[in-house]
Amino acid sequence: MFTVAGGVIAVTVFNMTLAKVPSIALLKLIGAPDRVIVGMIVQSALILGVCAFVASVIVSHLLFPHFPRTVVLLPSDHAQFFVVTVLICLAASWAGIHRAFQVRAREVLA
Amino acid sequence: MNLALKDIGNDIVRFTLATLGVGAILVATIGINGLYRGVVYEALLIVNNFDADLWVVQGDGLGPFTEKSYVSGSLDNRLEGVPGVREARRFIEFNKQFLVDGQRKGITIVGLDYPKDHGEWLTLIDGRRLEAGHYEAIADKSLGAVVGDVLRLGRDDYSVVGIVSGQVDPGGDPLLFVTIVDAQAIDLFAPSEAVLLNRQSRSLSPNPSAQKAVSPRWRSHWSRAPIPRPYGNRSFVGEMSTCSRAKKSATPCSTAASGVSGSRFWRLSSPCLRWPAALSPSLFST
Repeated sequence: MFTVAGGVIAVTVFNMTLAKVPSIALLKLIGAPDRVIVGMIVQSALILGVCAFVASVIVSHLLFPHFPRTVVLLPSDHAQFFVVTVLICLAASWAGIHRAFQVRAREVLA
Repeated sequence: MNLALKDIGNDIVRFTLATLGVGAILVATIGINGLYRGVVYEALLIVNNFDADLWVVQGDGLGPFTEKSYVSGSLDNRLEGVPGVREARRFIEFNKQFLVDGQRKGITIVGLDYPKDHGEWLTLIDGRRLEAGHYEAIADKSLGAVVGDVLRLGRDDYSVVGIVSGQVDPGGDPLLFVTIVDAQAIDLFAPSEAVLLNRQSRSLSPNPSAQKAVSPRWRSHWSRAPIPRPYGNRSFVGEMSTCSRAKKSATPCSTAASGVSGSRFWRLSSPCLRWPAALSPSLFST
């Protein structure tokens, strides 16, 4: 299940990076160091992951008590899922970083 | 200036949609994990509720939750005589379909050993616990009944005196807590047609022990309900398996059993009552 979640998050982060390609090219042109660009991608992936996790926990607690079967929501499970989500976001941001490194600064001039 | 925040602020719609997408998949993951934990929790519910140190069940089997397990009606008294046993309680559980509010519903009836067990271990959300030996029941919320409802189970009317929440069997059917004798009565109830057919097929059976069962002396007890099941030559209290139910004692017991309960057994009130009419011939082939 986490593999699927990881895949979805990777695709989402990759698409976010794709949308930023012109901005990344401009940053490279004005001489921003790599760590700034990588930092931006990783941070946006983490913010996405954390916000999505908080939203999902809230929705779970509103939705699952109304299920016909017992759904057990444990705080220890939530903590575990949070850690896994952060790890998945970090791993998924690799896809975006890889794409960002392929951006040539000259593209923005085209 | 934080580039990531600026970038998100630049296109907030895109970020919100991405969050919703990732959030949806996380909700699904949390749900799947929670459902699995819920299944395990429901399967262990009765065992954890009763919290016995030892369960005594029919020998050579895996009962009472994986298969049927019948033990003798006097087992709890005999076990209380075993050194090291502080308390023994009986246990009955079976699933049957009933008409509730015009709808057929599957309900799992759990028998509580009444004078010893009023259901103190149940967390009520409404009503009270059992205070009479007959015709009272504690229902789970998922049954849809409220305190004061009267349910027709078998031959008698049972009034719901308490409501609990989350007490379901592993199949999802609500639990209904009644006294042991009431549970026996409900289990033994069969419509008149079924009783007559059973009696007829038993009298036609080639099995000699089945023929002997239809005795005039037994028929004189027919009008009394409930009629207990026979145990005859089938000695179900053979080997004690490792489980029995008891209260946790403060001092550790020196022997293996610190309390026992029979699963699904019947009190034989008099030796002449042997064969109830409600059994099919196949049960007589031992």
